[in-house]
Amino acid sequence: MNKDHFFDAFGQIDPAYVFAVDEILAGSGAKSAAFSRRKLIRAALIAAVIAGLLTVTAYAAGLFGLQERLIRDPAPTGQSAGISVETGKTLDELQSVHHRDYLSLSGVNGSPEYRAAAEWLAYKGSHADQMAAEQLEQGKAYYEWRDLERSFAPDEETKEICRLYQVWDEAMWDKLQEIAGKYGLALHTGRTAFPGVPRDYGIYEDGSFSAAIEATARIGFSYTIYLERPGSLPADDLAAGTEEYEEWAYSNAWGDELSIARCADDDWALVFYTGESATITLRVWYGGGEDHSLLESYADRINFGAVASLSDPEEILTMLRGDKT
Amino acid sequence: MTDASIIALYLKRSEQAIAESQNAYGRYCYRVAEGILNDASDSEESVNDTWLAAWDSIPPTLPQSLRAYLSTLTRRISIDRLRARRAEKRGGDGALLAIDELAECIPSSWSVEKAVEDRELIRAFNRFLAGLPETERNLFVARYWYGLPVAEIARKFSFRQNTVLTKLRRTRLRLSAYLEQEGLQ
Repeated sequence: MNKDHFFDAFGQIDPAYVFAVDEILAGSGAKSAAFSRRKLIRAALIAAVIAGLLTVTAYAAGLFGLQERLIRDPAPTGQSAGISVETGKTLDELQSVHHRDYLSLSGVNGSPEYRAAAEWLAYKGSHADQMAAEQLEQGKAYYEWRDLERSFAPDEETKEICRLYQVWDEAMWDKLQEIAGKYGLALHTGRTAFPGVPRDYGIYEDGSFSAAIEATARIGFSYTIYLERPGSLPADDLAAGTEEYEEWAYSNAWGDELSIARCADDDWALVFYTGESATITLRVWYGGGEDHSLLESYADRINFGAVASLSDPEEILTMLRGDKT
Repeated sequence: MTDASIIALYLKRSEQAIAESQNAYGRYCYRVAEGILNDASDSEESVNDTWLAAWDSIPPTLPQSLRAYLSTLTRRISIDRLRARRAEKRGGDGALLAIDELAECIPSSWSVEKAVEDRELIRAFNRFLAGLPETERNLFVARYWYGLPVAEIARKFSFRQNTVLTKLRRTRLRLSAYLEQEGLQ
């Protein structure tokens, strides 16, 4: 039982208990901010900068680990300099939530998949910043540029692609296609949910998939997994964070060559596998600590090469849960 | 506008659904977010993300209580945002501490491998909460659902901080014992 899972489950208690407390909290008046629509819109641009450096220590050269997957803050600042918003600040003084480091889920630095992901993430961030500022200049809600109906999409398949890649207007759709074409990559066209796994995850048409796996008796730990086949632009994003990592190479019990990156001040780690048929990224919750052996024992429980060879959703889930090796 | 009417707007894919959600539950979701994030701008961003998450999930989800559904989304989004900014040391760690405190209630006999169905665990939580005195229940929900800092809970409920800490600790012990005896599978 993982503490996050426990906390999430508590989040779903009878709403009557939750609302009863809200009556008290709202009535006390102590922290009921003067919520206003304009404050909501304006403040949406005021997001924190993710500053700091990502430090990698003990990295074994030659392995496709964290350093080769890192996409540094791809959304450039200052593109909208000169656009003023109601607060009198220019957009380049305000930081977008899109300014963060990401991990390439398919391909290492220099590969078409890496370069396409970096370009798409950069565009998504700066486009959102630009459009938000323009909306505010016109006295509109910052998010009103988003075409929620995706009316620009000529058919259902396009709408589904746009949903997967969080495309909200025609300019984004054009850009997505441009980037994919530039690097010779396909776009994911559909995702099917795994049975019993949150619908934010699933298996794509080419066999790429993402899943959140709760600890089972055999596996013993909770993790999220992203598997991407070469040749497609990933639809999922995974932020790298700005924590310090300790990384090392590890060859697991199945002979898979892995790179393990332990977050130095938190309770999770990343495990990277790069194979011919798939790139696999795991985010593992292990309770923290400097003991390499615990993470290595977890890495031993997954046959990464075998997982990469599967295509049937049930077989994949069975293997990820450790019910078959 | 009623919940049913707002949900109908989501089902018709009318953008008015978001405006109506905001009108109906924007303040409440903001309070939920701010309790966790302790930051006005992050809270507002979380609330805006809630509307987008609702748009993408309704349908197929058909919430019985829109208020409960939206606030649960806000809670999850806010916790995720809190984790993402944690490395920046921007404060507001109260909710993350609450996660660690609540984890103390996981019975010691439950190994890391123990997997309990969400439904069973939620039912157990509800049975436990139903058996608590109202004050203890409200304090517990304020801390572990809303993620509020102890100091703020003390202020809102007109208790001394030590009193709140003591009551929360006792309730956590009771929850742990309760879950142990329930023998959840």
